[in-house]
Amino acid sequence: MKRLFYRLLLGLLPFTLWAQTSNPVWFKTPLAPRLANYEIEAYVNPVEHALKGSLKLTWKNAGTEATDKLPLHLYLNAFKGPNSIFMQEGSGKLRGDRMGDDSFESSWGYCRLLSVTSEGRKLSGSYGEDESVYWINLMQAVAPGETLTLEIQWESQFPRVFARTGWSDGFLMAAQWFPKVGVYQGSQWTSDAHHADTEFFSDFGTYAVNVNVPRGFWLAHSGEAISYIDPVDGLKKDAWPDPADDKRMIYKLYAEDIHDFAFAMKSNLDWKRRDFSYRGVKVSLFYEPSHHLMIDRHVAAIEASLRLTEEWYFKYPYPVLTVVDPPENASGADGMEYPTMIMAGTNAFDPLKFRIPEVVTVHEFGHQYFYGMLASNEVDEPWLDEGFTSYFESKAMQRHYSGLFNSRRFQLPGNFQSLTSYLMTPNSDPLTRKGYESATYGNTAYTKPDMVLQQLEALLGHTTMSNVVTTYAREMAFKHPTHLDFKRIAERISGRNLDIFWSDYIMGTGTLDYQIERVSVLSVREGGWNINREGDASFESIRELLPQGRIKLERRGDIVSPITLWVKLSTGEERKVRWDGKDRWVHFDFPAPIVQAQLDPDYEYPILRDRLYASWSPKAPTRGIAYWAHLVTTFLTYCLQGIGLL
Amino acid sequence: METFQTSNEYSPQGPWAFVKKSLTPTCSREDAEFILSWVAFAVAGAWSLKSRWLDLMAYSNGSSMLAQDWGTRLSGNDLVYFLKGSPTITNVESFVGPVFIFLSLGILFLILRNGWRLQAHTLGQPAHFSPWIKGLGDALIIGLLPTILLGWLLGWLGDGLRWIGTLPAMWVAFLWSILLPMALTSFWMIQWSICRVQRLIGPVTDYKHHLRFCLNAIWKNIGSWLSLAMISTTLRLALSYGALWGAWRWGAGTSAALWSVILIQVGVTILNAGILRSLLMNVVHFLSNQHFVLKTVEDLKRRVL
Repeated sequence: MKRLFYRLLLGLLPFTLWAQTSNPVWFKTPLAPRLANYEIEAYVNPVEHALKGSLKLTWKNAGTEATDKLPLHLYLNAFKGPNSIFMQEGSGKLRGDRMGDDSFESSWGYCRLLSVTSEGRKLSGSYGEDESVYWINLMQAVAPGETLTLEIQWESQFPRVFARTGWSDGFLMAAQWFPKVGVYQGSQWTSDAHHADTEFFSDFGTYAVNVNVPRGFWLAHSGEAISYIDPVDGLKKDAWPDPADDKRMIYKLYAEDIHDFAFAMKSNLDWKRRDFSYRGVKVSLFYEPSHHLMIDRHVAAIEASLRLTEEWYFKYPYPVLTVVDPPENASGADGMEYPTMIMAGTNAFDPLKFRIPEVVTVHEFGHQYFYGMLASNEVDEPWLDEGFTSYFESKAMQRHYSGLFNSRRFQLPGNFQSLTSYLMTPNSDPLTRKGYESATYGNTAYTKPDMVLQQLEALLGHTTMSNVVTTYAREMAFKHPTHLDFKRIAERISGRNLDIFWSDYIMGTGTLDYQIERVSVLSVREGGWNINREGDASFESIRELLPQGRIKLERRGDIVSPITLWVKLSTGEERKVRWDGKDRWVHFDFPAPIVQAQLDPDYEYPILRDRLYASWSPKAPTRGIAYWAHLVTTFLTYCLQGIGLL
Repeated sequence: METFQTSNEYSPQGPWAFVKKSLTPTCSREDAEFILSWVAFAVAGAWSLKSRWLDLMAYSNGSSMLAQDWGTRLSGNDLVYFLKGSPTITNVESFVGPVFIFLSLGILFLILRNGWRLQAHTLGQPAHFSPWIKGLGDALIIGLLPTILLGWLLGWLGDGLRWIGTLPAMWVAFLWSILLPMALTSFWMIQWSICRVQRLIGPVTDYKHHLRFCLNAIWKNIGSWLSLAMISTTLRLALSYGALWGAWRWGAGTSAALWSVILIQVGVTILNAGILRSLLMNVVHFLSNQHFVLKTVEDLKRRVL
């Protein structure tokens, strides 16, 4: 019955294009090569958590050779059953999120191709690595520069929200919901299956998307809604009436120079919306009514992100931005980015003002650049989007909020999360490891790159590094950069050869790990038998001279870098020495005993692994430790007294 | 003219009637031991933590300087370097050290014993271990489930406040979420105290009767005991918050500031211990009154019949 209903519906779909309206023009000159352009008609059935669609894909071969095949990503098939690559790799878990009860049919989803035609002729094909990729056999090869048009009809069944997409009660997050073409570069297609950890890679284009939904739903979406003037009340509305069904309405959406399209929907009775403009960008923020106290914080974070990205990279070029705070029982959808749309997420009340909602919002907005516009391959080099975005997030949180948490005595700096995670697994996989081949994805994609970029900044200097990242962002926007593009630009701007840096930090797994191993006092004595030129021997009594200081440094990690040692001697004299670090250890002697010593005193190495043993003093810093020990036990005592331990 | 019916002495009274009497210090050895054991918990715990952390920083006849600014400012990054840098920190136990754990547990046991000795001393009885531990079993049997149910009911209040969604309501709900579990634990502690003191006053011949009596002792005066638990918990939390707030403000930039922090900490620990002592005494006075009235009524009945 359900299938019959859909078939009937599918027949009606072309008629829903009843009132073609002229699409707005975002950019007179395209910002990106528009290689994959979509016209989509989607009919959403929120009761069944399903969507029926037809699309026209206009794809241009920008490669160097002809191709007679074309891969379509059917990402929702990752949720089809337990044998997909996604499920095999992730076992139904993704970064703390779990899929719904797998014994329920509604926890699973799929994307089913109903037909693929070109010029009215039906095309066949076969699945790739798994059912999340489908290879179409073309009737004839498409030569470089030629354009192919495909008409595709499909249906999507959404899983219970998990790993970015799906439904939860009255909320639907439609992500990776339509068949999407892979990326053809040179003579090769890139169209990886949907893996558990890694994300996506696709070409830019225009999107004209009509989404047909029941009345009473709000749609938060990528792109811009073409508004409708209601002749009854003369008001401007986002959705158009559906001429075929007065209980439904159609959102007509449009976007240029983006490479994906997502939307979320929920009843407008149970969702709040705030619209505002900042620096020429129309921002729509959709949020849970119970989260209204936190919304100003979201707005401030969005404004700060728009301002800082404009200052550091370039002005956000799109006219719109949608921010969605998903419901608490749809946390699988939050913390994700789509072109011109981000999934933030917050809670109802945060009395201690931990900047978690801000971190998420700033991070996801950062992806508008490092994913949205730079559009590197997220499967092959996840650090280019997640790492650069984490670096942006750390700097933005430090600059705008002075860290993740600020109080009189305790602070969490902007890079706290990255440092913590990095120190847990400092010798994780090389940054260039493919995402799904990495055993330390979170560290390799997010936190280690943030620390590595901070290290590069310390090496090149703040101004040069700013120029490097700005130039990289501007030159490589809309061009699918790789790490080699970043290296080329960094070397050009800084005028330095970065081969060693790249082999140590980007391609390598070593750590920068130095410590002060031992500090000692050398007694210096003189005297003993003295034989002069004439051969006369005389004995001078043994006597003590002023003692000397000795320090032993050790290199424990594999990365060799020169490091500075600062010492203060008992005479009050301060000295700095430089060790090239080539050997595993070294001794330095000083004319007086050492009273204080510190490695890397000028913080040349943010990535230095051990700062506990990078400093030394004969006297322990007791007061601060006593203070915190007293605070901890006071807190514990008061908790026990609070519960009335009798 | 005072009669049998109007005299407070001969009528059963709720716990609030004994607050003044309970607050009056007796300056007995047991009083001092109870309060000093709380001070020992706070001070000895801090001392052992401090020693442990200094040990973790010590190397090569000296120490790391990582903590040199911690008296005025602690960065989360420093904490991570400390936790990840020291090769001997593998878990919470190795971080706080076995001395802290055993010392704290030992003093906690001492606090509980001294509270019990204080109650027994007031009743002029030896503080045997048996009623104390059996009373704990009684309280678990009769007190745990009702207290949890009460907490569940009162927890709805907080949820209701959250539902209102205004900033003041959210703050009240937040404070309520801290106060409620503490006050209810305190309420259950009172139940335990009643069970053990009841066992001390009279030997348990009929166990069901004993449990019924203990349950009635608290639930027939639920408003009084609950309000007493709530108010005393609020008072203790307010004092504690004040001390922590002061310590946070002052920091330990100088030795004088550190000593001020320690002195205030000790002072508030003593005040809180005094409040807890008054709760212990209140239970004793309340049950003594209950028994006195029951005994008087029984004597009267015997005389009349």
